[in-house]
Amino acid sequence: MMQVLQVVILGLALGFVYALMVSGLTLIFGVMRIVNLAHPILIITGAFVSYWLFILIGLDPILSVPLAAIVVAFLGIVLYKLVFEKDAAKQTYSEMTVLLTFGMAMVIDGILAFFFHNTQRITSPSYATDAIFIGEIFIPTAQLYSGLVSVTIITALALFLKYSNFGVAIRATSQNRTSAELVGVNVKLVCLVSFAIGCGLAGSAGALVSFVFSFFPSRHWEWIAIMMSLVVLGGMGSITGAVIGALILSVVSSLVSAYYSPAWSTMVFFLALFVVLLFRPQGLFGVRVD
Amino acid sequence: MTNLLDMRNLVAGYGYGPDIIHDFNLQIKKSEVKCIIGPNGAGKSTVLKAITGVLKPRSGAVEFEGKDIAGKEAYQIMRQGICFLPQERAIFPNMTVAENLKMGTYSLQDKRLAEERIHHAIETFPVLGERLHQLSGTLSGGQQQQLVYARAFAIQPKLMLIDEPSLGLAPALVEQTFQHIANIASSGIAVILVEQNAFRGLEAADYGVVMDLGKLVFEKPANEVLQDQRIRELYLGKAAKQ
Repeated sequence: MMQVLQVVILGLALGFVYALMVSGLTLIFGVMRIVNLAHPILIITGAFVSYWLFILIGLDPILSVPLAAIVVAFLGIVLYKLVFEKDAAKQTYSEMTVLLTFGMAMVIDGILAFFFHNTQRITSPSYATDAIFIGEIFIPTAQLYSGLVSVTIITALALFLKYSNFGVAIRATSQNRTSAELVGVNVKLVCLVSFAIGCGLAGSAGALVSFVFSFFPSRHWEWIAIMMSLVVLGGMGSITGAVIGALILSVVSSLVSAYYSPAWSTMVFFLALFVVLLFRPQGLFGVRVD
Repeated sequence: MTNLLDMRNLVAGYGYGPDIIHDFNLQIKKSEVKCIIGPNGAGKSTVLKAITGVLKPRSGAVEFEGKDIAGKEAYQIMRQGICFLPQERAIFPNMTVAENLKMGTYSLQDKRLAEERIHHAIETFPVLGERLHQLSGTLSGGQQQQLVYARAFAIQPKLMLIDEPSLGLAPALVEQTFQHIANIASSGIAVILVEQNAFRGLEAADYGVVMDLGKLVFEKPANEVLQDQRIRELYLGKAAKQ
């Protein structure tokens, strides 16, 4: 029993990091119907920002979360202005954005690999190899801290969307774009800002990922499908859904890893992707998109 | 009295397609109600979309209170005081009734005034007051319709454009909707109405504007349009024969 609890807690800590990794992806899809396959490489970009800040000036990756977020958000604004603004953010070209962002992911991957090579890296602050015990439960501090920071950021995002004026405008735009415009919401600005926030979330997740997983530019290919399975289970465009999807799959994959074989734990994500798409394509909390 | 809205030689169409409306002229004064009628495909809805910026006019002038608004973004035109109720039900389904009403005052800086307007809207539509914390997507069709009009009340525009208000509604709801429109008109808001049910639409209006093939055929006081034998046969259909 204790061992099950142990596995579930580790799964949950990691699940919140996954949730942060996909929150920006689902936000951007919700507002603009852009399926951003470049999201994982943006996370890696954020990880590199934290990595180099740690190596060069010894800045703790948790402290560099906001910096990684700002750098990637700014990159997002540039990408949005260059690539998305004209057609892709009009909520009518979801299929096209898959190809568009796939190409974009390849380009960013190539640029990162050119400069930093595909060698495995990880930031190693002092707590990265530490662990704490609560009774008999053991929690690696890296996962504990990254989980806590993720919860904080996701809570802040949820409060922003629920209560702030601009957050309400973002939700209104994702639910009914024309109506939002007709009650006076500057939809173009909402799109730009949501895209920047979504990318900023990727950057902040990157900072945490940099000391939880080892990373290298091409690692993002493996994350694309995993992250898609999380948002598809929760329902594309729903932040609550993304969090719940991430927690469920993370815990299940931890259980499979502990009681069956780590080799099969990734299979959980892909199996979930298949099953959800077959039987409930809109996911747990999503709405059907026509 | 000067015109509230003055639209001259307007040309508009969709995408790379042909012009849907040609050289269209339309004026409306404060507190007037005009109903645009005409056969399917005449370009009635397109006129409304071109005024509100949902569709950018290809050429021509649209002036509102003397200011040129042609080609402006929809949200900017809305902030000038033009409210558009499109055909499709324009609610935010995953927001509560209260949040939907609050969206009506989104662009209002004065928060006290916003509260007052929302309060007034709830007084006018008491059914919504009982369901403020319900998700609006779970309301019945009639209640959703009320929410749309309540939100328009909260917006308090100077001009309201309503596209096919009775489309797809049960007869009882049609009556209810025209009651809302009468309330809006009697509060001094100018209304331009596009209505498939021409008979009912003209009854609610001061003037009837007859359109065909993207052009203005003529404009007359609504009761004269209702009496016009040619119009009765062409556009009013079965309702006229009774």
